[in-house]
Amino acid sequence: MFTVATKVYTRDSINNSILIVIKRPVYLNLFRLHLPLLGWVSILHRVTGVLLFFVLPAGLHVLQLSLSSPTGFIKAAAILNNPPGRLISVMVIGSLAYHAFAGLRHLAMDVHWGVEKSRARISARWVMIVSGLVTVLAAWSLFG
Amino acid sequence: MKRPVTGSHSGTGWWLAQRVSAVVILLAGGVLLAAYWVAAPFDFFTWHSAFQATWMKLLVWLLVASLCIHAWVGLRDVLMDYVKPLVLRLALNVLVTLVLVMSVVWVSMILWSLHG
Repeated sequence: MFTVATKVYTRDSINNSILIVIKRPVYLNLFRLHLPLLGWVSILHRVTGVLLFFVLPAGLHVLQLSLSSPTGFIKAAAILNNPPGRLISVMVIGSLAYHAFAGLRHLAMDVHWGVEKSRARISARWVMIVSGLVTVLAAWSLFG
Repeated sequence: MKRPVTGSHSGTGWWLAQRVSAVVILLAGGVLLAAYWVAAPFDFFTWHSAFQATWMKLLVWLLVASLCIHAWVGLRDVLMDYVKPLVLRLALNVLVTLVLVMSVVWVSMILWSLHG
């Protein structure tokens, strides 16, 4: 469904002249908006960051368990070793890698390195490639 | 000029805190990862004794504390962008703050309650 831009006539409050305001439709269906590569790099940085926040307490729990006693260590290893534990580990390693590389890119841009659009696109692609590679390697070593 | 209520202090201070904590996380995380590769603590006793060293405790604590500062700023940004109702945003902000402060307390307890 598409809405056409419509013209609305109003009067200027200062000199009372006629103003034409063009009302454009706001279309924000995220599933139909085409997000460019740089947009994906940005939104994924946020998604992985929020995900890592949620994993932090679980990580501390496993750390505490692993240090509590020899049995606790075995329990902690079992948590990380069963299929859901391995799947979450791969997701966490992938998110960490992605967030770190995308973050390094941000830090570089903070000191005005690689800010031009062409170089920003190249570094964005590298962030995707390298973190994707880390994720595949993690999946391979945990499930292979 | 009336400032909009955002739920926390805004400005370059937090921006800088996020950058500094990011660098600390990268450095501390890198050192710990390297130490893990070298020591390969795959049984309880090597794992447990690795955490006895003071530099190790300080490094892990520094990593988690920086993670919490970093996550606090990041979550605040995300909440400010996507959660429009003020009360809900403030409530979530408080919740996030509690979780992160508790995390720092928790990791301190884990590290400094270890028996040799």
